[in-house]
Amino acid sequence: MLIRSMFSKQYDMIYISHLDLLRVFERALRRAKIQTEFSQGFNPRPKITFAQALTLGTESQSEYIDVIIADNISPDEFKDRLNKVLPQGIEILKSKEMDLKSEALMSIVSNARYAIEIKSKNSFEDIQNSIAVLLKEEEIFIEKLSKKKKLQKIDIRPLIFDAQIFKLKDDYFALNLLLGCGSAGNLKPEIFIKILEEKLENSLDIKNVLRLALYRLKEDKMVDLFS
Amino acid sequence: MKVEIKDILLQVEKPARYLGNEINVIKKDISKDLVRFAFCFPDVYEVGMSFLGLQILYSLLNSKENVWCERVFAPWVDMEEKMREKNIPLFGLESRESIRNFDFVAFTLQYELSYNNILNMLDLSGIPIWQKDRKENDPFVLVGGPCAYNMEPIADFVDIVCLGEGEEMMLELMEEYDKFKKKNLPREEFLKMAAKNVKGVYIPKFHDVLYNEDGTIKSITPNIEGIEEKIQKRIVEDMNTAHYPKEVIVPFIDVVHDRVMVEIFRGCTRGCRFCQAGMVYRPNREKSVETICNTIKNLSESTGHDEISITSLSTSDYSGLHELTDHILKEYQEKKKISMSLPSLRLDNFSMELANKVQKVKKSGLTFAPEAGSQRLRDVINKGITEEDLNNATKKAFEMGWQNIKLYFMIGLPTEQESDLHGIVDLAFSVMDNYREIKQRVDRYFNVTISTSCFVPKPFTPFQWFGQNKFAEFEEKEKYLSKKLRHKGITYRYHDARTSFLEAILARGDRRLSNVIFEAFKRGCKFDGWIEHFKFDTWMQVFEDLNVDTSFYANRERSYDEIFPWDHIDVGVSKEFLIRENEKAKREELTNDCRKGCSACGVHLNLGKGIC
Repeated sequence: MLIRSMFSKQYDMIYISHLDLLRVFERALRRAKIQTEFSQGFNPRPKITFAQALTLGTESQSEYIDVIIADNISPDEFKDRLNKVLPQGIEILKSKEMDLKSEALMSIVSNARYAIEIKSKNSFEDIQNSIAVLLKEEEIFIEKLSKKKKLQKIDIRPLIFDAQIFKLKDDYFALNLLLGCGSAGNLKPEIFIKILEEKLENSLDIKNVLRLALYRLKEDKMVDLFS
Repeated sequence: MKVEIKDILLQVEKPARYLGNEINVIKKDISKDLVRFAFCFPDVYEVGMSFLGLQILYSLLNSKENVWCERVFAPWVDMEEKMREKNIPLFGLESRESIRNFDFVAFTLQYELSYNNILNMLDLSGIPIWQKDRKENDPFVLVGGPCAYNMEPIADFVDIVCLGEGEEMMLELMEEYDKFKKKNLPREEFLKMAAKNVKGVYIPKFHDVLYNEDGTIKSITPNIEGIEEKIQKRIVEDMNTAHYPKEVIVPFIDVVHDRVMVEIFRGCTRGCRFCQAGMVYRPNREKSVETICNTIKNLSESTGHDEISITSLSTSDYSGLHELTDHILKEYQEKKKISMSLPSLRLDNFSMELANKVQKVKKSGLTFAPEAGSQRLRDVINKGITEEDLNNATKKAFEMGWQNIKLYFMIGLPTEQESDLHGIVDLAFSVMDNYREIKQRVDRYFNVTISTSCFVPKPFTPFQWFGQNKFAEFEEKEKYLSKKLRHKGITYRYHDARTSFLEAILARGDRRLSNVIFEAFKRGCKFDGWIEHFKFDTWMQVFEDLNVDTSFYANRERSYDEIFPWDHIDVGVSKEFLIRENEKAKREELTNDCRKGCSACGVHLNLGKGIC
């Protein structure tokens, strides 16, 4: 039985890396006495997969995990039992049974929405204008090290879907970004900020990064990963 | 007041080292009467969290309502830099409060090369490094652990030493502290109360050390009334009723030993003459299979770990091993895919069958420790393994499907000759011959790893009189082995001789070394056990500048009538026994395993009376 769950990652848990997060869930499942299915081979592992890895230090309200369990328990019971033993800062918000043949989380995720708190000496209008200029450009190249350690030029413009700025108070602002996410094309919000800084010719102080949502494309619409 | 670390956490490697919010941590409400105890491990988080003693004492101390024990590890160099930059003092992980105002700051002494980290951690906390500089409101600096049996090189930095096993002693010490606090007495009084009323407590400042002109010790005597001349270590008599946690802390990040650790017995009956643990952990005391099974159940349920490790100094010697491992294999490995690991196995048939069951699928490698290359030298060190044992075991391993064998040896053991070194080479090639015999050929899958470490003579062993090889000799021996072991199927690994040299100096050092350690710390030495941080040249410069002769401590052969810096400490084993063993070593004579007949080591007369 495949159970897909959405969970939050907050407080101190933002310092737990993706690899460590896997172990956190493996152990929590054992503490909750939920039997999982195991992979075959020399070193059988519980069948657990995630959607897109979250950068260390980033908060999230919408991470996804798939667990194939051997027990016959309802998604709600799964959620309650796990929440009782998960560390503070990780909470399952919703669990749903999925078809065992569902496509892997990793391959369906297409977009992510972020809310980023920044501090800036620039005015609201300055930042708004720079974003507008950025969004008008047809291509934005950045240099990136390839796996073979060669510098590559990549156009990230297609990965920027939307960007908006809101004033919080004084010199604090909130950036709301909709970016490409997943195996087809992934843009970290920190890279967008770097490009914005170049446009502003001023550095921005990132106070907090929060992943608000992960989406998949279904019939040209962005929907959550339960759909 | 809590320290603010949010801003620096993302600037350091593995921030989860500093969070203090793992599964099963203990937090308490702070009140005026709460005794604050910092359990400090003077190395990085991943090493400290693998230490079973920390989990036992953490759980023990926190079982007392009015004590809050927190963990402190040496911050890694990147974190230390940020902390110093932002004036953040060393803090207890659980409360994130500076340990400057704690009641106790306790360090566990697991290895000599962590001494500088202790000084660095005191410095980071703002606690005066020298014991004599501490004032009324400063914490008591406490040490324990195996190196506490000769902690003289750091005696001037320490207030209280706990000798031996802490399960009962620590609670008694806390009770004594309650009395002290109620009476509102000066600091000095607590040291006296602890020394007089809690057995196993040693207060270094209450003993004076005098020296002869040749630098050896003239006398070690108490300098106040009512202090025993010799302080005896503490042991727990009944391991079945001794405190053992039902819950242990589960780290978020990968640590060295990331699993349920269950102690099955204390002590060792083998009597290997080089081994300090085998001498100082006497007498041998087992836990019952039932006790161990209960512990495994509690711990695997409360942690969610996927591996169980049963630990002791010599797993194969446990009398209930058959029953215990059957239980673990059936109830955990088969039913729950929780695997079992068995360190310290010997070469006997049962152990081999067991290793086979445990590593049924993944035959990662099998490790044996003959320790010395020739039968002669193995007799000298009383390591009762024969070449035949080794041949049988390796053949059996190859039959069972293993292809990688690791063999551990020490070089620089007393009486070692070239022929003994060559014995290591012979053993390596005979392992290869055994493979050829079983598989008809030596293919590319075969590998034997020969690993040598440099012998460090330790206090309370029959070799405590022995002068360590000079490090040039070690390097020569390593070169010899490198040359002779050059073969496609053989990997040769050796230990840095300079590290073992410093370890030898500190292991048998006296109080005069405190200035050296302090100066080395001042010049930036820390994490000496980490080869990338070890500043050997700085250390040697400090010895030279302070006019301290390293060979006096490391390489000098001592005589039987010399008074040692640790002679006022009683670990149960008598000096007469150690002398007897040293003489037997010279005659290449073996001594019985304790279970086959008592060799009158001294433990039977006092600590182990009716136990061993």
